[in-house]
Amino acid sequence: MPGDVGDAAGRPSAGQLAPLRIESTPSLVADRIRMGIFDGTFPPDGQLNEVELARSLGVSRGPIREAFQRLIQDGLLRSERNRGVFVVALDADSVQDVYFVRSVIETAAALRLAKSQDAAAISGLEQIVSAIGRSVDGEWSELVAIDLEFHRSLVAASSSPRLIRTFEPMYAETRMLLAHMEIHYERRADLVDEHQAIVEAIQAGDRKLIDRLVHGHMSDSVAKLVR
Amino acid sequence: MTGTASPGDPLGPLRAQSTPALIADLLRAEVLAGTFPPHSQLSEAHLARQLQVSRGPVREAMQRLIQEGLLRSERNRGVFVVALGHDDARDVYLARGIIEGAAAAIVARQVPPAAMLRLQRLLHRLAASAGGPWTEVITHDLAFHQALVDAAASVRLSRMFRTLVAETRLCLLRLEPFYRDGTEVVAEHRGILDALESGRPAKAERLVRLHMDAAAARLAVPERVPLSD
Repeated sequence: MPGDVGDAAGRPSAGQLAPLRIESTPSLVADRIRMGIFDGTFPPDGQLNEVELARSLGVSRGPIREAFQRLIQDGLLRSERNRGVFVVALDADSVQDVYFVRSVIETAAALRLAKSQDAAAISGLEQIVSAIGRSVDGEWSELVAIDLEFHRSLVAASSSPRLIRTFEPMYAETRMLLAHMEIHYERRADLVDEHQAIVEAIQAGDRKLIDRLVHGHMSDSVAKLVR
Repeated sequence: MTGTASPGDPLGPLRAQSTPALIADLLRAEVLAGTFPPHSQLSEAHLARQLQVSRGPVREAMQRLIQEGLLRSERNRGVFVVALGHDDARDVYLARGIIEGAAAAIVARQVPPAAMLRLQRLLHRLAASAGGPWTEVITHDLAFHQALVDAAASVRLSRMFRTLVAETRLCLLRLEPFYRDGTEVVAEHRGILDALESGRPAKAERLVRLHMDAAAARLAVPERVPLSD
């Protein structure tokens, strides 16, 4: 519902200033910690120090505590009574679970896209596949980021706000996982083919093939994970 | 995590549950009970004063309910109670069909004895509550679905389901006119349980999806169930 400070897109009416788009301090702090977990600054099982973080980020301890709560909800941190807050280390069962749930969500999303044949979404996926192709010889962390962008876009194409919302923690956990492990590909170019095949199955509207490819892509990833 | 006092700590832990979690529980109950009606604004400062806590935990609790879809934040305006529209209701049941359909397929493949007993017990309770107060029927209905998802033993599937429970409750509150005596509700759940017990994954998944589609279709009849004002 539009407010009285401009229209729904946040554009100001004449003579008014554009509304400030400032994220709350806790969510900014949570983003910084999340990035630190993704890039390996905060390793699995590592303890996070509230006082130190407050000092280095130049904020008070309240927002740090709130950010911790958020990341605990997301499954990236865990709190141990009387000991403190630690980065979660995903064990083998959790890794299986992440990929299982991802295959459930992403298969459903791909099937919806196969039905809607949303041209913009499909061409977006094709562009990401090309980008994966360009970065197969580059840094692993970059490849991970682009690869996961494919999966995020696929879920976004479901245009189901709730599927998109529930996918976010899986996305975060996968990034955390791949910050410390690599998926071993004999040929990294296979990665391009796997994603390309999924896009083609969506275009062809082949429901059985979509199901098989998405599940295969996920179980294959788990099997090839190496530390 | 747990509420037990540790040794050398005679007073017990100060917070058995975190303050934000307690506040979130409280606010959720109020929203579901209708104390805070759709579109009403929640004031962080006001709530903090009322509950005699600082604003941080109130903000955090609101954040959780935003994630659960019960509140929404409007930039520069504040936090409001959602008014679920028809699209929302359809989306809730779509997401549940996907999550619970996947869970049902796993359960039908494994047929775990303890979980099956639990589901039977919950179905009995649901049947016994049929015809009584609608809010009780809803509680038993949701308990059955929670148990179904938990039986799949996927931590993340269960977590996803939990983020949809509150919204489902809001939807179910509006379904009463369609289930006057509750026998239909019981029959649909009975069908799902039969498919699980007989170890038929494809059928179980299909029945779960149909169950969700049926609920979404009933909610989509605009002139009889005004979802939001």
